[in-house]
Amino acid sequence: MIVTNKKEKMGYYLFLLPAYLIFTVFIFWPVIHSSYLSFFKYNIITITSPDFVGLKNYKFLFNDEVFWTSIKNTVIFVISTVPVKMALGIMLAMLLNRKDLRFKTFYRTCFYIPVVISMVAISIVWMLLFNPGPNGVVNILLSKFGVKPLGWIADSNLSLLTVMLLVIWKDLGYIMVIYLSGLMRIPDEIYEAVALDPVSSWQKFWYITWPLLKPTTIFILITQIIESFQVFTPIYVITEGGPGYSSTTIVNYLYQKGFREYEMGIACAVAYLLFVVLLILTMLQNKISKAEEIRYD
Amino acid sequence: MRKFIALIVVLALVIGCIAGCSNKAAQKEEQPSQQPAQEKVTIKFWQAGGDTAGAAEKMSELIKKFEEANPNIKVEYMAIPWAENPHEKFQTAIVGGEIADLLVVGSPFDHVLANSGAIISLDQFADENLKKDLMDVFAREGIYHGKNKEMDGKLISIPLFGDVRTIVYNKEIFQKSGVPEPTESWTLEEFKQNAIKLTKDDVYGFGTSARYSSQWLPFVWDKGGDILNEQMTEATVTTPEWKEAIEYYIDLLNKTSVPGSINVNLADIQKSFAEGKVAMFVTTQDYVQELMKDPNLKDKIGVGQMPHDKYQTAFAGADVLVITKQSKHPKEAWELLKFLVSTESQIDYCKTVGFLPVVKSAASDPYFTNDPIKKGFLQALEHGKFYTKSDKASGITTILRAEIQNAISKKKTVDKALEDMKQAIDLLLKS
Amino acid sequence: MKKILLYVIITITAFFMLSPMLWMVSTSFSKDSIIASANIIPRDFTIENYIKAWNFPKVFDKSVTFGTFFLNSVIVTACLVVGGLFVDSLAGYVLARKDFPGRNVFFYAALATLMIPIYVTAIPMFLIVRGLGWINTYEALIIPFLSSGFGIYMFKQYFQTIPIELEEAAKIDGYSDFWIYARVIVPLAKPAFGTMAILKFMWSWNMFFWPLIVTTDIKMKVLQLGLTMFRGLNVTQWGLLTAGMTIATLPPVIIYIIFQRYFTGGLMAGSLKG
Repeated sequence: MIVTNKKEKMGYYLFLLPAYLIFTVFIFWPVIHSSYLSFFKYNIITITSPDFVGLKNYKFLFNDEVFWTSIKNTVIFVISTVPVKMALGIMLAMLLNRKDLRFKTFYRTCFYIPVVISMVAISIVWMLLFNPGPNGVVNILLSKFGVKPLGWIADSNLSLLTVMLLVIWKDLGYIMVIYLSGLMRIPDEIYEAVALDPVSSWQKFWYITWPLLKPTTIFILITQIIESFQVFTPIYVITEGGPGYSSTTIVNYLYQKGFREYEMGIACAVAYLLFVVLLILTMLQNKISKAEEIRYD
Repeated sequence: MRKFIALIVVLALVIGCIAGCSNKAAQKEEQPSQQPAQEKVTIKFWQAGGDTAGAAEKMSELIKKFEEANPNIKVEYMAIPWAENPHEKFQTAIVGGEIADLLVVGSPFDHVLANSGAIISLDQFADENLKKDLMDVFAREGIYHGKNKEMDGKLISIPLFGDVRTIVYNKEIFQKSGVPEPTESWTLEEFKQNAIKLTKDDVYGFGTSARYSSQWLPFVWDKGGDILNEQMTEATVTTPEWKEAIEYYIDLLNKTSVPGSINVNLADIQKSFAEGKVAMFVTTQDYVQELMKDPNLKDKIGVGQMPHDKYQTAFAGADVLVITKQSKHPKEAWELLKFLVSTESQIDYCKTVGFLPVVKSAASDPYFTNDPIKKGFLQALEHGKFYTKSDKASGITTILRAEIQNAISKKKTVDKALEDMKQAIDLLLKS
Repeated sequence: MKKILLYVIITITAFFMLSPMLWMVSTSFSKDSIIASANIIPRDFTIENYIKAWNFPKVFDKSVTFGTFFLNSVIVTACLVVGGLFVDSLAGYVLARKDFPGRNVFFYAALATLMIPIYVTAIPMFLIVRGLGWINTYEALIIPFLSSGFGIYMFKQYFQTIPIELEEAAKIDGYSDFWIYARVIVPLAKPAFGTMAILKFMWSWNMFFWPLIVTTDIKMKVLQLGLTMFRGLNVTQWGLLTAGMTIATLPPVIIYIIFQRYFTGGLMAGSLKG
């Protein structure tokens, strides 16, 4: 570390000032405001005169079966989509980063296009593709392989899966882009050093690429978990949480409470619980990754 | 260094651009005060929806007419498509004190607004002639408030147009299967038997989706069941009437509807109907108006009434006009409201958008009475029943949907699903 | 032989990824219909949908076309990308390199901004924006989202992997921290800037919920809001919707093609040698 004086240290805060000023006004304050409101019963329209209810909103949540179902669904969603997305994403990035591959830009663009289409619009398309009848596009394709038509959004065991497939399909290119930028950081010299040794490409990946991609992987893991816990739009459009509550997630539940039942206090309580869980998860991940780094060195 | 300078330049441009915009905005606000002589009143008019083909255009046209007749009033009109969740936008605007003077909202959102004191009673403005001219269904079902103390029994809204769902069928499929076309007196059992007869080969007799309570509530209403008690304090869904109706609907759905009916999107059923794969389904007048544009379908479409044993009903609603409490010009807003529900405007507007007029003087126009399809829908509207007026209506919708889906998927028995439905709704009403 | 197989696999997968997009483009060139067909080849080829979609907003306001929305989106997105890269990388730099009291708190605070769904902060945010008199202005669309926890975290991660020696040398030569940030770090972090530019463009371009709340004037609508005009409660105009979607999808794709060249290999290694 370079030795610094006090004046210079004050300068660091100037670097932080623009970003954190905006955060304070537009995120931190609203968040504090809403966590405070989670102790009130307030209707979105009577916001000016909320009633203090203490822990009643939290108690309501703990007793609400639907809330627990939404947590279960969200956890299933996160555990099933994040690893799959990341595994496929890194494979794709490796493939499209090969020196001997031509038309790289074209292929990369193909995989990136799903990322940029708006979620609302593509969800509508997805709904048509996964029509539960024998005339649904996906079911027609499956029937060519002898698979009977599946119920998709109409089957309580498959509705969440239908949404997961969309999210994996859509985010693949996004994970790829971040991994590609990570791969750029690995100097060619490292591979050149082992070029003459008889190592398989799998060994090269496992002993060189993977460890060097670790910061990227942790970055993607942390941000993806935060993001996936908040999945909302595709479920809102495609299944509306059904059949039953089989695809209701935490943010769907929150939205329903806040904007459909006008119980903003409960919605804030949900958000606050979610926040605490995510913060703990993120800190844990950071701790674990730091501990591992030391072992590597 | 060059790149860094470029970055700074771009940033400066960005900031300049922002500053420029804000100046413009500031100027805009100052303008009206520069011409105080005219004493022109500007009212804001926001419409939730207004997104059917040509609807916004027609509305703008009507407003222009209104402005010509009332030179002292200027109207700023905005339509917010349903896909943009206009009600949420209204809520935020009310909280922020930015709401328009006159709103069009989907019923029963007017009751939510009335309950929280966001709109005013219209009794002070409405004259007897208008009240008499309004179709009976609205006074019966929708426009009087019944919960909040201040607004109890008060007139809170005037509908802009009516909206009803009834049986729409494909005549060709009926002929091919040798099934007589629906008559007004079909009982539920006749309806089911005929739907079963129509279901063969690739064709489904009755396309429906349990995702929408509008698809199955009329069967409950037919038996005399309803979601809430009269005081709207408790759910009444565990009655024998409910059980009978739900069992009937599930059987109907399983035997005669498309695969995935438990949660399929209505758009899918509409598509199957247009492709000739569904013989009957329940839909709205504006969708039929769109279907009629297809030359292959035009002559095949028929409109029937909902089957009934005890009480003839149909799932109806209205997009209603309300005047907000924040409005500084409620009188002018009322003038516009009155203009929009005048006989002439009603005929003009409904012709374009395909919805149903709300005043008898417009409904008796030959345009509606000579057209069997329009007539069919108007007749259904007369029997129409509205969804619950409770301010928890949206929450109730979710519960109804989830539990009926649980019953269809056999995750729960009908009894258990209805019990859980009651428990969830009661909890919601108390919270 | 192995090579050909590789190309076949990639091409098939790419086609699979693209098929919904192909459907979208095909429908946009087919005669407008309220029924969505499953064709990949347009029937009755026409460009009418594009013309209709482009002029559709005129029914609300004679002076507004889809071009107005497009321009709004371009302005908002450009400001968010350029300003956002600057603000985020500045904060990311000190978090990556400097030690000072509260550093960890600042870092987790940046991450924490990602953890609250906008649906609960929207109303307090709206009240602040209204207090500032920003309803229906570009400020309301841009400034609240100028900084992002995601960007700060990503820049921090990236800057940490840049060898510190270069910086120390500059430091000894007496250059200021800002000079080092601008002249040493930024040029070395091109892949991070390229990636962030692409991602920020995509997010800003697809913003929906917030613009919906803070704009009431049709002249201030962004493209994603414009698209909803074609989806009615009971009737969706597929031809117009897909035409609008196609128009909306093009700019982020073009941006991707332009910026992805920052990934072309060996960039890091080369600049280190120099």
